[in-house]
Amino acid sequence: MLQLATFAESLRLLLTPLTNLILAYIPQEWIMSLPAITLVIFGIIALVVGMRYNPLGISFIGVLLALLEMVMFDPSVMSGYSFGTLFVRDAFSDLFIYIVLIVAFLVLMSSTLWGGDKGAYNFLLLISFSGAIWVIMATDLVALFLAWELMSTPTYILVALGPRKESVDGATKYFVMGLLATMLMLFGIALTYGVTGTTELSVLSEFVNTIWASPVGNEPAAYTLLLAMVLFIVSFGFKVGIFPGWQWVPDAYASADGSVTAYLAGGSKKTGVSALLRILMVGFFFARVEWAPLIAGVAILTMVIGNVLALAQKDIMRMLAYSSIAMMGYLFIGVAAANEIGMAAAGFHAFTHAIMKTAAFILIWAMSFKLTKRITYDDLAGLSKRAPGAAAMLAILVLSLAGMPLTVGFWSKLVLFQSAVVAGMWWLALIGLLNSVFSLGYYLRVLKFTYMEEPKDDSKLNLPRIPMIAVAICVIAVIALFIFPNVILDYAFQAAQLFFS
Amino acid sequence: MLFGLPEYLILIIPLAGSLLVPLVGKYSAKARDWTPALLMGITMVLCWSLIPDIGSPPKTWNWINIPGFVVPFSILLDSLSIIMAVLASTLCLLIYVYSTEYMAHEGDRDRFFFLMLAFGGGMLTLVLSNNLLIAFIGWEVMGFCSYGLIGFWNDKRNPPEVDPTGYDSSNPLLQFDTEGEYNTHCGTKAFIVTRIGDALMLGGILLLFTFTGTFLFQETSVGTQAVEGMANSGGWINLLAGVGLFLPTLLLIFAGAIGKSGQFPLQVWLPEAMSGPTAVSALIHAATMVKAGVYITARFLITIISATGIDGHSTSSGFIPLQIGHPDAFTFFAIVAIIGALTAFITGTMGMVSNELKQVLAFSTLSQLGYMMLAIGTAGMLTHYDVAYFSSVIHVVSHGAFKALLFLSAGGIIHMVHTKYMSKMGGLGKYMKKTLVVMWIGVLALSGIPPFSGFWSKDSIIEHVYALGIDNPLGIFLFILSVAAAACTIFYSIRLMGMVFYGPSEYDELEREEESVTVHLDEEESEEHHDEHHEVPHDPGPAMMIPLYILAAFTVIAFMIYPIIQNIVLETNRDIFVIFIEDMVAVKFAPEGILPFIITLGALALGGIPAYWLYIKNADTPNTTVPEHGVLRKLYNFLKRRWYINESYYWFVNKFLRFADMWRRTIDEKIIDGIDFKSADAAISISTKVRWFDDNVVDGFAEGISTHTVEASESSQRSQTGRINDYVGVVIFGIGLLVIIALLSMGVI
Amino acid sequence: MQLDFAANLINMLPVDILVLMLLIPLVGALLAYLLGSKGSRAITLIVTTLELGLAGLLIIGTPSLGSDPGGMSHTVTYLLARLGTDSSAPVFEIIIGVDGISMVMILLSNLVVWIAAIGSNHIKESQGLYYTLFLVLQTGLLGVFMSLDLIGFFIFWELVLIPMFFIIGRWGEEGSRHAAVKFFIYTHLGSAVMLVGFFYLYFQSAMINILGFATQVPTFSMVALRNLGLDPWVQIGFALALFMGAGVKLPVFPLHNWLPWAHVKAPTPGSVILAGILLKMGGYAFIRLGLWMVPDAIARLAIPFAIVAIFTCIYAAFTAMAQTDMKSLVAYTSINHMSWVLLGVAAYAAGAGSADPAIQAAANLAIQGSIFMMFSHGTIISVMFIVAGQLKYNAGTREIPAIKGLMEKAPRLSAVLILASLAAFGLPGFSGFIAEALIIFGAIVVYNWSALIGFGIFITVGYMLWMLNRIVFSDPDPEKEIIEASWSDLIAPILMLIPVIILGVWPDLILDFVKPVVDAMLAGGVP
Repeated sequence: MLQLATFAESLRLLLTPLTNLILAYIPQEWIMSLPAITLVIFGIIALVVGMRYNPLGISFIGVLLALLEMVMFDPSVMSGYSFGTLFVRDAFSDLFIYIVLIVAFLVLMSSTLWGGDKGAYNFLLLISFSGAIWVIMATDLVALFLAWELMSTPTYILVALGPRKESVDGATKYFVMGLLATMLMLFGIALTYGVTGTTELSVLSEFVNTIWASPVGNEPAAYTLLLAMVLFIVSFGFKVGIFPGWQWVPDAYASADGSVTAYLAGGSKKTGVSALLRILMVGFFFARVEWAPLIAGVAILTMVIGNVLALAQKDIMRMLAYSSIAMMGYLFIGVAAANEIGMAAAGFHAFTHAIMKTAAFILIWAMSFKLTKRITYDDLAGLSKRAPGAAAMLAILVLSLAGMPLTVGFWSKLVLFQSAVVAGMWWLALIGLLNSVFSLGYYLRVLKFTYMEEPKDDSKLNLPRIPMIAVAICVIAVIALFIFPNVILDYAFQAAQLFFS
Repeated sequence: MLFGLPEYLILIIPLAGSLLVPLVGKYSAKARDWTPALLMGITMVLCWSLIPDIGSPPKTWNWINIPGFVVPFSILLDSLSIIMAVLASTLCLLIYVYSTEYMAHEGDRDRFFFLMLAFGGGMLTLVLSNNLLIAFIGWEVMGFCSYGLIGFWNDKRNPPEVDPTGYDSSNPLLQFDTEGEYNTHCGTKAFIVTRIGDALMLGGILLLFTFTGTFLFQETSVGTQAVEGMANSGGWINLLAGVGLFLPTLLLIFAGAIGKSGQFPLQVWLPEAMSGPTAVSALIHAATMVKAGVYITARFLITIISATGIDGHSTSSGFIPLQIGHPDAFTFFAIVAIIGALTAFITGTMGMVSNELKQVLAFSTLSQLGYMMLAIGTAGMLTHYDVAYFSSVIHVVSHGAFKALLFLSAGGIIHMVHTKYMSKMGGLGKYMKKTLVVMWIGVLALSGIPPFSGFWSKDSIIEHVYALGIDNPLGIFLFILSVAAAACTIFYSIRLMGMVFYGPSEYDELEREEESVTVHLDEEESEEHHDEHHEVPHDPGPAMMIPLYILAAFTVIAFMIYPIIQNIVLETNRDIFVIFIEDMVAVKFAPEGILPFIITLGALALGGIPAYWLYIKNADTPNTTVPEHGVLRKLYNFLKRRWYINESYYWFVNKFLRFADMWRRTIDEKIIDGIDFKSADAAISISTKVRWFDDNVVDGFAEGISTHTVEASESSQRSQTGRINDYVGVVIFGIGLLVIIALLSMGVI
Repeated sequence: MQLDFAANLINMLPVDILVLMLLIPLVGALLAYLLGSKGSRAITLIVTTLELGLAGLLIIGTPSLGSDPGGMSHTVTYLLARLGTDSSAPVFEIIIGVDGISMVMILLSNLVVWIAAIGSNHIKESQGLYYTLFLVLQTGLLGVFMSLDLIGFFIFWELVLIPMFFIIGRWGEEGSRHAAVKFFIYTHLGSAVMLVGFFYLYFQSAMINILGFATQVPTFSMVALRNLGLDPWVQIGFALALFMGAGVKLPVFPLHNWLPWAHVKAPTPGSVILAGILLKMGGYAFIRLGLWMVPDAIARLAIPFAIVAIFTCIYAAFTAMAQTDMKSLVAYTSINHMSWVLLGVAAYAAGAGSADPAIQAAANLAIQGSIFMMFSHGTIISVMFIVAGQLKYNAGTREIPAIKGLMEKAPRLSAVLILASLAAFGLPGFSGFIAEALIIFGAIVVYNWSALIGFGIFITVGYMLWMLNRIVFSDPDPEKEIIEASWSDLIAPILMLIPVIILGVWPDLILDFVKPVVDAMLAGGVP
């Protein structure tokens, strides 16, 4: 962690002139949203350029610039607010923004496989990225709603652009469910506004405080807010793919283009998490006692559903989709704990899950791209002979998903369960533990097929290079973060502290 | 000891030397064959040189030394140990010499001589060790070597020789295609049966250790640290007896002796142990293995006696029966005596009908061992235990000698005529005159005819038993059994001589044919003629005969040596002739000794005369067959089948193996594995069920495996409408559920 | 027992010797993976030999009872993660260090791994990967015996699992996949429960007082946890979890079922390591985490443990008798032997607390026996497995009834087999006998009914000899082709028999390292 901080510090020093230049010309309001704005601009450029050439390079530049700006303007030295108090950058949002940007970078690397209309594709991706960043930054429900739409809408189209016929089918489900989610979200916002007369989370939290402080006479308000809260959980839960809105996940993930899937799993999921966390921890902070068991129930149901269904899948994409549902279940254990370590664990798990799942999806997608078919277990048979490198990386990723030592997955699960125990929910931790053991059922199957089955054809399998590099980066990160978990964990704890200071 | 050499050399030389044997074998077969004899010769010299040290305290070296658990390595130097060591080493030497010729034409002699030497080493370890644990090690070494040696001919490919007068067993365990299998089976039988005893014995040792905290018989010291011995304090006896464990402990240890010395009911292994080379049989019977049990029992006798601190020594040989030591001890020795007497009688009867030359000798061994046990038991019940104890010791010695003699000469015979069944022999007397003579000496000694060695030992035993019987009814019972056993003994001894050496011989006419045959038969036919072992038998060569002469000589002049031994054992220092006259001759005619003497002689006549009449006088007329029916035949079968003891064991073992197999098939595989598979299947099936729910209810269309899901999802039209509705349904349901949870958590409902 | 020159040598090393021992195999693994089938075997042999040398150096150069906390030596701490932003927050860290017991186990594992490496000469396909996993496995094993911290312990414990899973499944024979998965699920389930136990102890170590405030920073460090002196009834929860985790590895009766499968299906080196060391991890866990850390809890569970142990012993022996596959016979034999270790542990736990010095001495005896049993069994069973695997190559099958007349066809192989079997059923003069004797002498004083385990011995002898009969001393079958094992195949077992025999006549060779530690434990443990 220290290394990163010092590195960022020196980078800032290096770029001070540029920083001052920008500060001189760009209105203060925009500064913190600059990464998102950059992405929007580059998206439009990409659209234009895309009419003649492949604009992938431009997208890369855009994302890298966004990262640079993230580093350049440190919310700890200048005010993190932007556009009034609609958006804010703080330790918490920074963590998730970095996640999204990293995922974005990886996704772009795997997008070299993209065969369709380049311009539109890059445009939509970048817009969605910017939307994601704003969702994470949003502190006001209305802003949140706008950003949410900005992020979601492109993804519907992206899924529909998938290579196969059924992708339209998957997209339709995703779209309809998304609409439902938005509708519920609006409903929730409306209820909140009706009761409190504000859409700003910080103000909302004061209301909640007063109402919960003197419940007598305020029952109607309390119930209404509670209903709104439930609606928020459900609606944001859609993106995250938790109970009760998980069904679209496998269909969409399995039918969409692999890179898009990687983004959905790695990126937009996390925005849902961050938004939900912010609403619960800021807006409904004082109603913890109420929503903690709610989240716990959601977590349990999600874990069980994800694991049980994943066990029955034959298609790897679907299996990974279900497993990432289960993963979100684990994550919400941390949320349900509703204490500092729990929040940190959730953030940490969000990060690790982003790395692992993105890489896994890219890897499988690269295979299915090469073999021009859906990848089932039988296609994995003898992968260790056909593509040793890929097999090794897949093995490490799967082990990490299973939470084995030597991979960062071990830490994220460990900290999650520990947070639950700290909060006194040892039963929740136990259920999580049992689930993670149960999940071996399908993770081991991958290893078994990869390493122990004989391949049907011994022909070497040369997977596309650039996506593989992306995967390799993730794999290295997965192992390195096991040895130095603090690098991320400390940021996670700083982010968590935010809510409790 | 000689040149003050360390005593443990006696153990190390044979044990370590046995490892040399195969190495030497690499260079010269001959040298290899003589290595055991050489090493055992050195050992023997060392053993003899121990005699002056008799009575000195045990020598001790450090072995395992854990706080609270000191197991020193200690050598006993009392009369019993040294006499046993001398006997064992001497007999081993003779037998090894004998083997050099006897085994000369066998294959894989590395293994043979290695095991033989290790065997001797094991016996010496047992008898010399002051440490029960190490003694047990020697005990086990012998057990294993016997296993290897009895089964030595495991590669014999020819079908096993059938006993012309034998019976066939239906037990699946007893069906052998080749002799090799049969031999292996015998070896294993010997090891496992003795091992049963050993397991119990280990238990006894553990119990002893638990209560005494020591393994030592006599106390000694490691460096400065003193280690107490059982013989020096009687406390442990009362301690054990206090919790009622004294008798059980002793019985457990005695169980080991029962196994090794083939006492009833574990006598079954010894007759089969004959399948090994004769030298091995001689070693097992005369010198080493079966004597181990007797030794350990005797060892415990004197240990207990000295622990109870009663001076059992008698200057005069008065018979004053009175129990000594602890009442439990008395019971124990009573049991020992009864088992000894039973064995002596039962096996004696078995010997009367056996048709296998060496098996007869085996039964006789068992019977004689019974006598020794009887003597020890009797000693334990007499005030002046030492005379009875001494008679058991000299019976060990004399039996060692004449049994070695008998076996070795029997080996010579079998070597010549290539059959082990007496009914196929007969009339060998005129061909193997020297053998005939030595064998007669042995047989007379065995059946206890004065003045041969057997007489002195056996008859003194019987007299002590009688003395016991004077005021203890148990004694009467034992006396009757022992006398009956004596009758059986002489019967089968003479029967043996008759069937082997007298009567018509298949070689008589062969001898006449011999020239004519070789005249008009060309070479290879006469060659195979020789292979069919039809050449006229003759006495074996010097390497085999010289040991026989030595042993025979000892058997004859034994009565001159016993007084010396008596002086040693009883730690008296009387004039040898006085001892001979008083304790060995006059006793027989003393008022309390005359009666048993007469009875014994009567018994001998009772057994001997019919045997002589049947098998020697009328040897030429085949009148020895038993009628087909009637009580005699029944009795015959009963004895022939060895009182059915053996068979019952086989029956049980067979059942046991069946059960183990059944166990594996039903319990271990079905249930334990079953649980695994079932649970795994359950997990899978549950998940499939849930998926079925997912596919049919949630996804809205039905198919089993999700590969189909993929294909079907391509037919999008129908799926969309139906599916989405279901999704929404689930969502609404979910919201409701969450609301309910929330309200619950608020505590309003 | 410490030799100065060795101590100096250790101090001269650039890095801490334990860290070095942990890192060398990993580097080797990397090299092996890069070299692929060409040089990987050479690398492995070099690395394992080096490791063995280091282990030897370590054990002769280090006092059994060191100066570091808990009587450890060469203690090294590596901070993995801090749960919180302030410095008082609880931490995940890896602490490694050794005392006499660990050093003996380390020596054993390096010995067995070395032998297994030599015995891997039949592994031909994708060697690079094989030896990579092999060396990673070694790191895991060493780590388990070195770590003094529950998290570190758990990490290495699980780390052992992964390479083993691949080795069994990939290089095993027909049906090994199922065995591998079974092995993984069983052991992982066990470790999961154990992890729960770890966390339970961790939170108890916060010493929540009546007011509900933590009075201590919760910790995973074994030494700290032991010095904390938690309430025995608190510890029992942990002890039960430990029983699940270590019991699967050991294994004991209800949890043993993975073992025959894994052992039989695994490739020979795999079986060797499984039986040679993996089972010892269970025993070591019982001793280090149980007796050394929470003795009171184990003491309260001693009787059930002893009963389970005795039952397992007899059950395993009984089942082994019915096996027809040579390897599964050996597998059940090792279940049978490891149950002795548990008996020793139980006896120690029960006896250590007693005031009566005799019983204390017995406890001392029992625990030394357990450790000795682990060592001797590790060596003996390795030989058995190598020979069993060898039969496959020389006789074409491992079915006991199908092999006949080995003594004639392959005297060398038979000789090794016979020696190994004798040692296995504890014939006096072999290390097995000493171990069984020590344990039972100790146990019988504490619980005299524990003599029942003697039946286990008896049955063991029975089926061992029966096996020898059918394989070695039977007369050869003319159809069956049996070829003599080449010396290159017999090097490994013969080397392994040397310690078996030496320890049989000189047990103190190992016990001397253990004694001081055990005495310290009996005296209440070094703070």
